[in-house]
Amino acid sequence: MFKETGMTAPLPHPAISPRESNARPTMRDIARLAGGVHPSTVSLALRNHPGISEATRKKVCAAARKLGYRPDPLLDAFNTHRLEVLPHKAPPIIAFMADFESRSALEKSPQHAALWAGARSAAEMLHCQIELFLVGKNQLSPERLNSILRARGIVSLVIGACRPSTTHLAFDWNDYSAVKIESPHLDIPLYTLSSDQRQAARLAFRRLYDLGYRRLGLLTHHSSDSKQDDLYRAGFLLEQRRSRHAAAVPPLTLTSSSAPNVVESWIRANAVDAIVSDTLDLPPLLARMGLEVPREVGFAALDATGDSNQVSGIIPDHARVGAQAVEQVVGLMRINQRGLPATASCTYVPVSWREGATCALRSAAHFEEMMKEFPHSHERTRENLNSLTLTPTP
Amino acid sequence: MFSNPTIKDVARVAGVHFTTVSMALRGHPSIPPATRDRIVAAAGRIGYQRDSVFSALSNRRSRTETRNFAPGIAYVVNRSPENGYFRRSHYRMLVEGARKQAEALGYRFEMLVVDKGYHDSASLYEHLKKQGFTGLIIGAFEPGRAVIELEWSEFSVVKIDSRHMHPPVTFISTDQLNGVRLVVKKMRALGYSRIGLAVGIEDEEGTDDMHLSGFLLEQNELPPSQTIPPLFFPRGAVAEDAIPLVRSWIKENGIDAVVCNWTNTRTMVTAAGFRCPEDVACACLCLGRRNPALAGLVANMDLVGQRGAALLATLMRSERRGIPTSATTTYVQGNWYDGTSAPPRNQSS
Repeated sequence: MFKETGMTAPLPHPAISPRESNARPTMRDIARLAGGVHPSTVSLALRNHPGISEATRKKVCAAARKLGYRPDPLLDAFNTHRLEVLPHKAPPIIAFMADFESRSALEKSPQHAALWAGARSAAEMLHCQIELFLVGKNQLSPERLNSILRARGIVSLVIGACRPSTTHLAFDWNDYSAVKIESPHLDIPLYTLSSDQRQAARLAFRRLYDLGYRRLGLLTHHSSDSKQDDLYRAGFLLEQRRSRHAAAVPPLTLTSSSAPNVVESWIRANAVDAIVSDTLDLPPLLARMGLEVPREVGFAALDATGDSNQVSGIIPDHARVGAQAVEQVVGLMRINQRGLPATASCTYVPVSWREGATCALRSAAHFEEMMKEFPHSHERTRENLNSLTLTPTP
Repeated sequence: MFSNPTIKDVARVAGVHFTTVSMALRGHPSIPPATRDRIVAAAGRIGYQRDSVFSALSNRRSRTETRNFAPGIAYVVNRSPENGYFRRSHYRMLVEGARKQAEALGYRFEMLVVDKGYHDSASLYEHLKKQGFTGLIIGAFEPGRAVIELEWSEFSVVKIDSRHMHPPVTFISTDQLNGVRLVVKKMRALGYSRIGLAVGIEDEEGTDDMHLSGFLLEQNELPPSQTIPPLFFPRGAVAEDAIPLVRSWIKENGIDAVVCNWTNTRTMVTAAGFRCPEDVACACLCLGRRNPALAGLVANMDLVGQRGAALLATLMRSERRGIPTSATTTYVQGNWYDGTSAPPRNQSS
């Protein structure tokens, strides 16, 4: 770092405010007032760069305060813009941590591939470099990743969606500007990005309901202790309560220890006529039970990303979630916000509905019944299905 | 042909000097209309676009006085100080959180009021334009009061609450869903078993049913005999209207703890004829500040304000204006504090 002894002695006081009184103080002015450090030291110190000693940082900050220095957002915007034209020599690096054994395994999961692609394109837009780090079996342990990031001076981190088996991440959070994607089971109050699962369940319910299905059931999977399906249930229960046909079907949650015939007995016992589920592979199972889709049982997937079999259901915007995560982490970087926030907060990205072959207008009789009950519901459906707010059923 | 056309490219195509292009595009009176039209047509043909970042920068450079030229974030509210804006502590905290964050990022910050005796949409628009505000926070607009309609495409916009209001932009709020869940879990841990949720219907509608979602989720674990129907106070109800409803609801359902979003929860339970906390305990979902006599959640209003300004800065930095195709929603959790209205059950019974 800079040695003050090697410098010419700082000028006496008049040099502190050589500019007109109303001019904006610059880093050079601060450098001079802070005892003749280099302006780049000022820049680093104001960004809490770990390479600057605490004493120097304090001295620089005191000088900045004294001069009333404020970062210039216009220059910041200009820099962002300029970087689109000029290649940056050493762009800041964002680490994207993914919970996969291999890169090809990640690419095979359509959700995670989309998250990663979205994150990459946002990083490019913001002139940051993004690097994928895999943790998990045969890959890095979180501890090892932590020390690699430290050694390379990488301070921004996106925790890509973690699988339920990963419950603990040993990072020195105070060193990082970090956000996480989904992973509600990770009990770390990081700023979180997620697709809007509550909206997904509501949208799927409403779509099926408006097609004439009346005994809708929610079927989700979770491994022990995870909270992954909570928001699906929150949305589903809300719509179920809203629909006039009381005698609600209780949601069914499958765990690894569930008996194989539990789905069939749930369908029969509750006379379920449509299923909203977080898996895609339900239709073949229903066929094996002798239930015809969509005539006898309708089906909507809560995440139909990557499906090629024309399943009806929700398409979350995973790429947007990944992009938003990078945008947020860059935002944190710019204001040097590191460590865990005192309070958790979460940003949800809206989802949309995709038509498919696994649900259909029930029948003329069903439809008439529906129209009698809710004369405007069909138009309303068209208008509202993909909008943010759902009109409550009367 | 022109990947990123400049005025020099326009000049070449139109066969004039580039300063003429500059003046013509700004509508300078010394350029004859025929020349101007020719230049404008040439600019259109090669796809020249004025670069707002560069022009903002050169505008700033050409002035020695720069203090007023930081881009501005305007925080707009629809209740004037005369109508008690600053007497509501949660509003104050929202504005302060947003101001702190905006200023830390170097933006100018101003609070503007849309209300009787203050701005309407037209004068607000004029003011924002004149003062160079490009970022806008719609700060917790109250339903039933003034709304604004602006040329949204000219601004980067985020909304704090104000769900009833156009436009559908980036949205920030307190987390009622997890708030209800946290309070119900706390009450259960304190030993209460018949926990009821009471909220004003306007608050429920205004939050996209987040309270009810959280409550249904918590009750979903319980056998049907233990679930309790939520109580919604009717539209426009005040405490006097709500008290008899609370009384019969508690009686009919054998409720031992009331979870409510009104800050006068304890007074209402008492007025309904129950000893609090001996007969019925209660907790509030949105306390403005910590209250030793009332257990509940203190909403992190300053953090909501902060997040609002931070998300807005992200939009402004990348020049994203107007109404996005898909707007995100962001929720900030509150913090639980114990209070005498909800002591551990085994002590009081």
